[in-house]
Amino acid sequence: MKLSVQQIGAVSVLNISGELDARTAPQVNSFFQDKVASHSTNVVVNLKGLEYSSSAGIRVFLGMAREMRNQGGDLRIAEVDPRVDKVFRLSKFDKIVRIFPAVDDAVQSFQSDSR
Amino acid sequence: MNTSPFEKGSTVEFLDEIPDGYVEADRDGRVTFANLSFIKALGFSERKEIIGKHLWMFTRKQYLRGMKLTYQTVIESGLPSDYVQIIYDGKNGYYFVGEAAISPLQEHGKVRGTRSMVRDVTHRFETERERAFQKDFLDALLYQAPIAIATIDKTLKISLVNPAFQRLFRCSAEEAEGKPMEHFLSATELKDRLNEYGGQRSPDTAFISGQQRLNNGAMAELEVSVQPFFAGSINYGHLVFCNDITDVRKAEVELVNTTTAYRSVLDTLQDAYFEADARGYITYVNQPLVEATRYDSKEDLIGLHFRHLVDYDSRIFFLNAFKKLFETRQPIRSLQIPYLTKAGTRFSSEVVASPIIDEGIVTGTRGIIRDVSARVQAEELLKAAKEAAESRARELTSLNRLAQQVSRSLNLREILETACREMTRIFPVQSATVALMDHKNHLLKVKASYGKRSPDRFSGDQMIFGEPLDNEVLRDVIEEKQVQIVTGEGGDAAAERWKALFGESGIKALMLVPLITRGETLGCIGMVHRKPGALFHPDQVELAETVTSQIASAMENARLYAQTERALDVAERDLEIGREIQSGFFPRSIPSIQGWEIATFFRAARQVSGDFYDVYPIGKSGYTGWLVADVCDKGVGAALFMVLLRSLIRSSSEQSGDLPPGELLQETISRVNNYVVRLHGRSNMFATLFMGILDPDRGHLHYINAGHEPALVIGPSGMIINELIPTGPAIGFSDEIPFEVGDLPLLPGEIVISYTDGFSEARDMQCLMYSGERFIREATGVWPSAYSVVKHLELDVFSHMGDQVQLDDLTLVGLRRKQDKEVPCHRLTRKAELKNLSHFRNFVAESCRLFQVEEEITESMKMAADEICSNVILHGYQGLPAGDLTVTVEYHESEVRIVTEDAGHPFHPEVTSGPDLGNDINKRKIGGLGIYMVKELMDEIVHERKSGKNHLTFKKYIHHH
Repeated sequence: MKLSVQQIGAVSVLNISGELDARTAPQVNSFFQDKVASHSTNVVVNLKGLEYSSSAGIRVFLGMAREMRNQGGDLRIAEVDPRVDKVFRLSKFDKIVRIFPAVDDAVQSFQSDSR
Repeated sequence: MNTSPFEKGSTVEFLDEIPDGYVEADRDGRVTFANLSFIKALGFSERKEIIGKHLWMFTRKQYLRGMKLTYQTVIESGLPSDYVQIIYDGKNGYYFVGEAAISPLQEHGKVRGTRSMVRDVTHRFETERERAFQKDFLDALLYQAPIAIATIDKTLKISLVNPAFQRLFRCSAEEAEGKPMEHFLSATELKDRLNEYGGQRSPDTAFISGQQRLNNGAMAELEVSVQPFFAGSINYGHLVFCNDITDVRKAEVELVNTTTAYRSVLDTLQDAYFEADARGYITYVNQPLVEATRYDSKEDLIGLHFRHLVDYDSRIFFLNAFKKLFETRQPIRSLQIPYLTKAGTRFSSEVVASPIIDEGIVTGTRGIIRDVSARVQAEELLKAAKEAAESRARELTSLNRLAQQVSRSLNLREILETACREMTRIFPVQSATVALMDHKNHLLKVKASYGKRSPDRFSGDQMIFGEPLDNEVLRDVIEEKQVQIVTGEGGDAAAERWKALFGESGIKALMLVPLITRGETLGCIGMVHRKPGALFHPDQVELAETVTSQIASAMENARLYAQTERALDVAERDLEIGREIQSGFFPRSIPSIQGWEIATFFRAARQVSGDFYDVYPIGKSGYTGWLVADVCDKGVGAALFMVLLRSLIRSSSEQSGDLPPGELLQETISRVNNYVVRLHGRSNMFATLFMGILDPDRGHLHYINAGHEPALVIGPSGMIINELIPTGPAIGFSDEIPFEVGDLPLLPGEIVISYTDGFSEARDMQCLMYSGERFIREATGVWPSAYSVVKHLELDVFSHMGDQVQLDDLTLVGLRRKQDKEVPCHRLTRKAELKNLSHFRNFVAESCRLFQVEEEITESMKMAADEICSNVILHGYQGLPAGDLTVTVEYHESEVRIVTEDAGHPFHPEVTSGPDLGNDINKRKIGGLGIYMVKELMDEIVHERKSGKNHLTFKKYIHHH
């Protein structure tokens, strides 16, 4: 699994690729706490290249989204692989978090919010 | 103490600086001293890592005997040896080919050991060997080709003919070789074209055909093509292909002349015959055409449009040819076109057709389709070999050119520019300039400058170095390696010469420092004062010397770096080529055999080392051949050898396809071995292999183990019931020791495992070997399928290796006889640990794919298995040491079923309450999601607690379409 973060204006983009399961999910969480949560409350999670996610992945995203919303921000997701999308739909996660086809769309959605 | 007289300061330093390896050993061959070049070439970093070890440890196996003998002779005779070539093996796969001269170390008139100078000749050795291989490879192809081929030199004299040539022209190789080609192709049309063609080095292929009288007086119609051949820079002359098309022509002539009473004869023809009407619809075919195209019957084909038999890409081409036939009424003499079978498989063919003329009107066409796959294949193989050899030569040349440029400038310039800038910072000077020696013209050339002011202000600096070296000051710097300080004022003669220059450019003082590395002056650095009254202090001289020595060593590093980069680049490219060759020759699919299953595993090491396996049906015999082999070398040479071996074994066994399996096997391996010994003796290549021939109906296995790891037979009870140990030497060792054939019945539930020593020799982080014993221990067990045991051994060897680099290829083939009416199933047991989680889910997905379950269901099974396994791993053994988790995937008539078993805490999926999936994020509970998803994904979940174990079964129904 590969993790990286980049800043686009006030929005942090967290890139996750590889496979997300009970073994790798804790790494995502601690990366998020160290590198993202302290800088930003508006986060886009870019899942391009994430080929697999189990419920452990959903749990991490859920925790992250909750934290951002409690601080007045939000977490949005972009570039979801069909295999991962299946898990999102199954767990009804797509009902709680806004999902965008492209990272740019997700970043822009924050900018139009603040206008 | 057995210390070396060389362990005294300066001599050791000297030895460490020479590029050749130097090693001293005692009478037993234990190393007492080695220089840095030798140590580094073996991949070590410190002397103490080598001292005290036997030299034999670093000698490749096949050189060991010779090396020990040479050492013994030197010690006993007290005389130095001739140069010997040895491959040295070091740490982490480091190796090099050394040319060593061994001489005695005398002390008080007695020989107390040896000293050797070892020159690294790896590059030369490998280039030579590769050339030899390319040539051998071609020889092999020529030897096998079904068409007559001769190689001719520039004077059109024959240098080599293959067996097919000897058959066609009814002559022996001795009779043909050395004779001019026109002796065989005497027909004027052939001769003229050949002469015309042979005179030029045109890259085109010439096709000629004509009547030719053969040695025994018979006439034959030949189609001759000529191709030039280059491998690398070596010109092998031309290849002349002679294809006997007498029968085709005869049939064609008969076709045109006969209109009646031929149909009954047509079925006895070997070639496929067709008739079609003017619109292209088939009106008649003979039996061979039905068989060749795999249609059910003649009726199946008649009425079909001809385009169905023609490969899509060739249709336009085909159409035009037939259009021309109708327009000109001229027969099509030879149309090379692939045809399609009913199932869509392509075969190369040659079509000959003529018009059907009825009362002056062309009403249709009739013709013959001849399967020329074998010929085309041989030609393509040759073409591919030729192209590979040529492109390799091209690559090497361009690589060298590029590397030279890199080592000459790129990083060096950066270093020099940085150096100049740094000098102006360290010293209170206005500018600094570096000039390097141009030894050819015996002058200094400015390579970089840096000034604190605008460039024109320090242009004078550069003029200083433009002086010829007969300038005394510069000569002292370069030749005497002395720092020189020149001022505008001083009365010395040297300064006089520069006075004018100083005045012009405002230079007040100048310091020149030589750049020295390994005792050689590379050039010098000049630093310039322009401020009036500025002087260089004597203590600045020492500082300048220190700084320039650092720059010089940086330059040396840059040079070395560029060299290493170049070497690595070439090695990496070599590797890629080797891998490509290797991967292209693994079977694309494993044949399925009724009542049997075969599972394979292969993982290439970083270095190509020539493992391979093959599983294939032997001709029409009904037998299946399978082999696992290990070519005992590395690199492109090994890969080429592997390819050669594989094709030889395949073609050889197919040729003997009508023999009983034991004889077939012996014939195949002996023939291949003799061939390798005869043609490859000089390259010292050999391979160990295990080859089995299975008669699937009788359940009987014949095998030859040629110096390979023993194959294991695992019984249905899980015990190892047989070890199939070597029955002969490695291939290529000797043509005098016969290969024995072993045979045994294989009963239902029995598994044969064959593998390569990549397994037994796999090392962990502490360099401990996996070992054959552990392999046997881990293979012992009740396995429901071949894939189960292969997967287990694969995961077990990788868990042993950890993060250690894989040094050798890993190859494993498992063959299992199915039991009557068994439920197809695969099983995997690992520790319930997070690191195994991905293994479990990938195993489930792979098992489903082996059962050909559709992808959608496979994905669901994988996800469900992941959730269940995560649960067992995270909670099942909480507070206990991690126990085993077993996952079984079963394939039933109407469902795919997964069963997980663990000995952890009792687990009840139905008790775990479902998660709250409401839309309020703060109310939503986080746990329980996994189990909820499994329930959504699966059609049925059952939990049982049996004899202290959790058995969780989950199923997905499948529908057969």
